[in-house]
Amino acid sequence: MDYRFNFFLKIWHAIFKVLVVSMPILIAGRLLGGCVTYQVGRSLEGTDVVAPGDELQVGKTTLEDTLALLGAPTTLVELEGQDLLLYQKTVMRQKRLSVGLPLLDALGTSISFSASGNRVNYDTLALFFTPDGILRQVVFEKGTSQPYKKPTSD
Amino acid sequence: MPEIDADTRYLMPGGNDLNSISGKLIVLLILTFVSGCFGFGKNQDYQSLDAGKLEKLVKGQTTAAEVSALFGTPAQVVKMSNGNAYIYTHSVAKGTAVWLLLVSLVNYDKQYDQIIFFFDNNDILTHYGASFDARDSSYGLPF
Repeated sequence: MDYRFNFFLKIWHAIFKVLVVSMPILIAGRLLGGCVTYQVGRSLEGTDVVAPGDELQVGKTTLEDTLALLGAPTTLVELEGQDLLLYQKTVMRQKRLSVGLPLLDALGTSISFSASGNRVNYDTLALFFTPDGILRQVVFEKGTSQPYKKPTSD
Repeated sequence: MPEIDADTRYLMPGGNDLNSISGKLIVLLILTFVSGCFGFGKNQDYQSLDAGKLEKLVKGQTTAAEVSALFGTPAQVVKMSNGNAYIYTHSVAKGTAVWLLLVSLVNYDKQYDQIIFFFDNNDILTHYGASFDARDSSYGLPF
């Protein structure tokens, strides 16, 4: 009998502990939900762009070789007698913090603060070809590896 | 509230003690009360591209009209220095959103299938490039 009583006592203690710990969190969440929001977002477009290697040689590599090696480019442009093939991957990162006090809406006024930031980085491989389809210039930049927050010089 | 001996551990069926169960209950209770937890979405642009049709093409012989008959209307036509290029594209985008109490996480992944045909000034196919990455689009978290 004592064993059963102690067992139910332990269960009641566990339930009580759950309520004591979780209720403040739930109440805070319910009161602040929609008032305080921190949003983290990311948008990816395109596959990885590989850095150019020995297989891309200016003056030798042809347009056909390049297409066989890298597949279809993201963008295609004709620039004053040159053909530009652009391989690109885009990564956008977004962070947003908003704080509001909707309880004040009943008084006809409200206070809200929000701060947000976006950063878009690109991995880009630009290949310029002559009208004869011979590689003329290679430009590569890997921007997606840069951190969301990067010190600027200005 | 009667005093509880903290050193005494009562095993529940399955071998878990009450302390570990109460921890799990706390997490479960919080997760239960969180509303609008997950969201998934998928978008597709243009029709899917059939890679098998590329085998029917012969460089130096196939015309732009024949390519159009096989693949339909191109999404874009670009004037090149020595002819034209037809661009066929198909994209798949998958979005994931997770709301956890005060924090929301959003992820969007868009990938493309793309074929570009190059034609000379006589509309004869000179070469083409193809990439099929739309299947790689995936759901996930923004980390």
